[in-house]
Amino acid sequence: MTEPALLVLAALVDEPRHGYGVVRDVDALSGGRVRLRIASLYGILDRLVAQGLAEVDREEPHQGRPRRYYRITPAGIGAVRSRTTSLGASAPAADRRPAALRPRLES
Amino acid sequence: MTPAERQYRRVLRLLPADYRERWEEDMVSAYLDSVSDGSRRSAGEWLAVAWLALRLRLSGSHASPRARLWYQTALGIAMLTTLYEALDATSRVANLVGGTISVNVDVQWPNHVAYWWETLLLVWVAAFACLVLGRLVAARVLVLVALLHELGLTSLIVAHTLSPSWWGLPPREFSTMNQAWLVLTAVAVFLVPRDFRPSRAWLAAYLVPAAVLLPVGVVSQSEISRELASSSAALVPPQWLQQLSVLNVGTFLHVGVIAGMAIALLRARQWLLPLAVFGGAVATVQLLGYHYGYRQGSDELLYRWWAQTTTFWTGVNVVQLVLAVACVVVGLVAVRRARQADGRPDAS
Repeated sequence: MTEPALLVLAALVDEPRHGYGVVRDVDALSGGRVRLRIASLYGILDRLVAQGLAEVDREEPHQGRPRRYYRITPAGIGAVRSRTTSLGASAPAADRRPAALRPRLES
Repeated sequence: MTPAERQYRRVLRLLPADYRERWEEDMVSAYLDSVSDGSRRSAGEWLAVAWLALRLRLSGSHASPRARLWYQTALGIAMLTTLYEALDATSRVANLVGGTISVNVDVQWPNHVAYWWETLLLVWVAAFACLVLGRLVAARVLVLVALLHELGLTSLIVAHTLSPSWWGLPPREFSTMNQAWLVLTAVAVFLVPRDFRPSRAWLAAYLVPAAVLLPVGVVSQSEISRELASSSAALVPPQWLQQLSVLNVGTFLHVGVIAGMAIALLRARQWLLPLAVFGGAVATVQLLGYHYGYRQGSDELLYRWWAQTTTFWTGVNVVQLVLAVACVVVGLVAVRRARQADGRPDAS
């Protein structure tokens, strides 16, 4: 799973969100590092829905236009957990390298 | 309907119809939200739609079987051509190092400048490594740099400062074909999706030939080989040293394509078509290059330099012809099998 896809799923974990809501939450979650284009978001959403990791929650009218909300599925929560666990497992190991380098740089 | 909505809907027409049916209203709604938020630039959004449309039509569930087949072929060719260019660059730089340590070499400008341009070709090695290691953005940038180098600056310097025979530059027709091929390769590298993860074994496909090409290139071009050959107590028979030129990129290319097609037949049939198209195209381009070179006499010096006879080159040409024909046959078989697998009627 790519980082943008993981962030899109993560944005749907706490509550269902509409398209632009997901874009803003991904921006916030990544600290402004990942700024999704609308087309990129829907490319990702199309794949996530096809894989059963996300689904449509409801549709509400907004300023005369239909606005669709998406929610994460149980399979999607499992995918997020699995990905974050694997990242969490490798992060300390990766973090040890700069930590080992620091005393050498300071000396 | 606002002008922004009208324009965005017009751009969305690039997307496949069934995709548009499912997502258009939602995309427009999200786009207009972003426009009212003042955080979006239209040009970037439009390009993103065009890119999504291209990807969906080539590789997504919306792609036709034929489009998917040729897309996979383009990805394979991107890998194979980048590998070939990386090995070619390694060989040329090894020759350069060998030539530089020769006592007779003229290192004055413009040759000195030419050496640096030649060394810059190693960008292909970095591009190939990035492609294999999944560093896609870096790979794209490096391929672009290599392409610009090959297309523009090298031609300019060669045209103005060096004689074609010194450089070993083939005639214009060959250069044009080569450049067109490299442009197509760059396009293919740009089409590689983010989740493209080739096996790390691809690194061995570079490292093993490079381990041979580097020492052979250095030794064959340096004074060392001449001294070894002319010494009264020659440790190595002179005719052996002459044969070093056989261990070049072309040899690895021919052996690699044939071995690759054999492996692909047994284990990974999705590689049959890329290998066939790549092998067939390179063999054909090389054949035409030799043909034009001989006809125009521009490669005579190069042939003497490589110390091989006309009979030898005729043999090489025959091997290339056989390879080109074999690749065409394998390619046709691969296309036919792919069509049958898709359950489509066979056109032949």
